[in-house]
Amino acid sequence: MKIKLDNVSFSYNEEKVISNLNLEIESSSITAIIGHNGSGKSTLAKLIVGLLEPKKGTIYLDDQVLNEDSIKIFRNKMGIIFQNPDNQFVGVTVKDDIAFGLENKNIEREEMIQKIHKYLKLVGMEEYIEESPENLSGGQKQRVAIAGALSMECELLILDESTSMLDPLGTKEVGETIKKIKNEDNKTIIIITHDLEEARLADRVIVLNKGKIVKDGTPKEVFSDENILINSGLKTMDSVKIINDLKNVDYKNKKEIEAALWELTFKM
Amino acid sequence: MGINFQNVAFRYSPLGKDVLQDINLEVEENDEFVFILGHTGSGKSTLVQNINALLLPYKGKLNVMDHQVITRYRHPIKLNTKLNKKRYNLNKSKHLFAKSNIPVYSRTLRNIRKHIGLVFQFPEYQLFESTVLKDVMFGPKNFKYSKEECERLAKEALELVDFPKELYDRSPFLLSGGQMRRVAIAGILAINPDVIILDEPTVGLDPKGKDTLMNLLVDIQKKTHKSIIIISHDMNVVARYAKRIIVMKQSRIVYDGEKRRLFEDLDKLHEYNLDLPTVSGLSMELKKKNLINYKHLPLTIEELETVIKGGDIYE
Repeated sequence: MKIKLDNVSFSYNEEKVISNLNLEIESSSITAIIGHNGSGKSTLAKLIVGLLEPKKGTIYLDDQVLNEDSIKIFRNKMGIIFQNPDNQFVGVTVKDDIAFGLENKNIEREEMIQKIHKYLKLVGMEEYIEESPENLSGGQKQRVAIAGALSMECELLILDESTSMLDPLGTKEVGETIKKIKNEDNKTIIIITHDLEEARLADRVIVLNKGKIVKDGTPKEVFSDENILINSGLKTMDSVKIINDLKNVDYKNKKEIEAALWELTFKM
Repeated sequence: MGINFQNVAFRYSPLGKDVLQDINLEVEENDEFVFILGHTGSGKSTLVQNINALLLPYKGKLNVMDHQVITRYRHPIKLNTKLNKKRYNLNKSKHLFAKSNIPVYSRTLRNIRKHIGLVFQFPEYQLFESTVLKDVMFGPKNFKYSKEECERLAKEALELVDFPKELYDRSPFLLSGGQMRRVAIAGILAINPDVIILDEPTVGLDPKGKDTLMNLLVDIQKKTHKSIIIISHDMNVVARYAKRIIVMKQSRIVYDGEKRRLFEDLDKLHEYNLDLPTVSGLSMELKKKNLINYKHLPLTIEELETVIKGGDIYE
């Protein structure tokens, strides 16, 4: 799904959260929107999926204006995964949870079962198909939520701080899942996060500060710009910080160490 | 007196399995900065909830400051009164088994909670009052301080967490995530506890918010000398700030000691399901490529930079 924001502004009461924002996101791409708590990134996600309406400007999805009429069509093509894994589990078992959305779409039983298996397998949760939510970890619940969104054949998947409440294992699991679906189908994925480790899964990283885009580039371009990140309440990856800190220092194997640290930034 | 566990065990239901087993632990009242680590479900949160008597052990002996927590007697017993020692024949009791594990709500449990300030995960979700100041005053109000005293304690606590005065009358729900968390911590500091326990205080905060909060806790300890116990999964925070580490695995304490010894023992880390701090992982990869060499594994950015520049990390 192609997304375009044309001069979009949004405010809660008098506080401006998104300010004259212009942004285009290509279909079948992975974009990370990063920023500190309160930078406007979650508001931006809610605007794109039509949970909030812009006070000013226009949002286009697949070149169509997003409004009260078109949202009904687009809702079926969108999936959003929120922060708290406990708030989005509706079924009494993993299977029921995914079936919930499909039933609402009047999908035939045979096809439903097929889809449930297909997407649970994709997120590595097929063996938990009969499990009830209380027996699942936070990371597993988020993976079920992702499978649920994918089963609806969504064209746009937004992960809104989907790992911020998880332990390191859960974060890793969700990261691995994103990597897998990155290669699957032609989905547009938006990762909203303040965690650069998650953002490096994207092809493009956008830094948001006070509702404005302050940097837009590849992960490497954005991670190298430490000043922008610090001014936006973020921190660059440890490996990049070391390269920057020692830029003007002479030390043995400097070139090799810098190259190795860059490689590790995207590998570890 | 601090906190002292002797062979403590806890289970949620009488026929359930032990969630804490054979816990022996001592934490001083002052100047400790302890991190409790462990996989989800290892018993970390249960351990700290036993410390402030939200949960009561069914076996063993638990002393919190000058109180002994014993479920058998249905309320904690003040150790330093002769009458109590005589009444409960404490000198002769070899072990203290609870008859039931149902928490006992008594006024004396309140005394323990006054000594131990427990900040839960995502404490900002527990804010409820109409203004920041009122929210922070809620704790002392529960301990029957006068209104003036509550206000004084609340203001002192808000100052300690470096919260701007002009926002005292603002609704806590109009604050940023980091500010809300500071208000929630101030709410605990306002009851002036001897020991502060925080369950995953940095989770969900952005990097700047994380640093600010951790530096704030270090600062609070410097000013007040109170011991601080933190449950965390974030190894980068642990590597930077911990003085002492306790690791829990399957309901037991499996490690109690300093951080470097733990992080340098990769087999143990693997056994405890713990990750390395990012910098330590980078260091090992660079060493593998023969680009750097070190005697002690770097745990922080500063340490790795020292090693890259050809220096040594001194203990």
